Amino acid sequence: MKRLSGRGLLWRALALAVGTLLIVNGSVYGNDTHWPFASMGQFAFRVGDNDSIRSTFLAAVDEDGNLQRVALSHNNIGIARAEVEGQQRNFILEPQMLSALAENYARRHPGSPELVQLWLCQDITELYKGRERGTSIETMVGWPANTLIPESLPEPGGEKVAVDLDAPENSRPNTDESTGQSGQESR
Amino acid sequence: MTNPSTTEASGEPAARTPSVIGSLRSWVFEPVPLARVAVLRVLVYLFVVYDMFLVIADPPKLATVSAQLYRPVRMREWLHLPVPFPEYVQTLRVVVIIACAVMVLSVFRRLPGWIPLTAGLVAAAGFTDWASIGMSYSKVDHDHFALVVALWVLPTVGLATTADRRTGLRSEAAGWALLAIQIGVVATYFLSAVAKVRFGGWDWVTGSTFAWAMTRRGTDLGRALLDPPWILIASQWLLFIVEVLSPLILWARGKLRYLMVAGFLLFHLSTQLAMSINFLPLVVCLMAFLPLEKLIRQKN
Repeated sequence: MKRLSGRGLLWRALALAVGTLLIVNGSVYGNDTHWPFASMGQFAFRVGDNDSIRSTFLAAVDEDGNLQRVALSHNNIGIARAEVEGQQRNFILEPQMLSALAENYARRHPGSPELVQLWLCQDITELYKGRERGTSIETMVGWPANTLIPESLPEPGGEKVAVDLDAPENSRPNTDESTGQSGQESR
Repeated sequence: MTNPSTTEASGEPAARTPSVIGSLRSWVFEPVPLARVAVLRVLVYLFVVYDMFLVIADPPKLATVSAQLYRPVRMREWLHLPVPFPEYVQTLRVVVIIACAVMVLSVFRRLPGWIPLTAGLVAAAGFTDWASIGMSYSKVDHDHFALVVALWVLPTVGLATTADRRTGLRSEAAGWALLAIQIGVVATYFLSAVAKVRFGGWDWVTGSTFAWAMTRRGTDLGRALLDPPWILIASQWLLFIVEVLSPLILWARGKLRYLMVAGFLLFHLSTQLAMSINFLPLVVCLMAFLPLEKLIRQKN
């Protein structure tokens, strides 16, 4: 049998104790920025029986004037839904951050028409006693024009539709100040 | 396997009775077969390569997005790790792959001891850097804690080869490393329950958090569980109870321990089927609870 020297035992015992304390600290007092000793906080928040479930999505009009949903994924725009949701406040406070998403999209879709107007929106599912009662869409922020998302927005998975952004019904200002916090899940 | 006679250097206060130190030592440093570490090294280092392409696969993509989306975890700031850029993350991945290949090789060929030690530490540092990039764009997952622990402790065991199966050689360093990984696994489960109470409150179990998850990313099967609501609430109770009781696996032995491992695997399978989340890095580390050396034929 291979035994450890006194020194070998000592540093290992200390390392195990310190590591255990650090990870316990992460969940009792810490937060995400302490990774790898972060809190085990995925799915740890509570959603009430009568709360609403929010799910962020990106919508855009391209240079051909077509309105579409744009999947928030690494392949599509370099960053995933949960990552956008993690700093949604920043997008709302600084709408020009959406231009970074348009640039990422252009880089990944060289042949496609560029996105010239973007909206960060949320699909909202209302719960009543834990059951789905209804759904709606809320505009978080638009860029460059902070307008409300046009009502002709296609359903998830639907085809893009032509839209006239100058029409009065499509240029209503977005005055909502909701930050739409939606919790954290997994990549 | 019996308590060692020398206990002075176990790092415990002298006030404790020798029997407490002795039993603590025999638990923390329980000698286990080196061949078990050899098999676990193959699993872990092959998985790390898989992980960098299919689990935390996003650093190359994140490295091309605008730096204003970068929200570094503290570790990256303390260590002055750079804002990721494409050449950096691509080089990092190549270095970690080479280090992992050397670690797998060291299981089958007897190399000088410094080679697996160096390669193992390079893999640990490199993968920690890689994974922390994935966590630095405002989304932190907790599925990698045990794997990061495994990468840092596995190099400390020294040489471990398939030939150790024949001799049945046991090592205290191997026992410590496996225990550290096991504690990493248990911490992930148990502290998830702690975080639920901290962030969600004691009534987390009766809420609609699973309904939230299934609505946002449920598969067809997952969405089928939404109605009636009691199905997911019962699932929340079950998960919370399992997480709270998870430390028992550290003391369970034999069939009970294997049954608990099977139970955790079933949980990870069900989240994969219901919402395409599988915690694979944790699944790999669960293997540290099993007598993996039996995968090697005794006469090789």
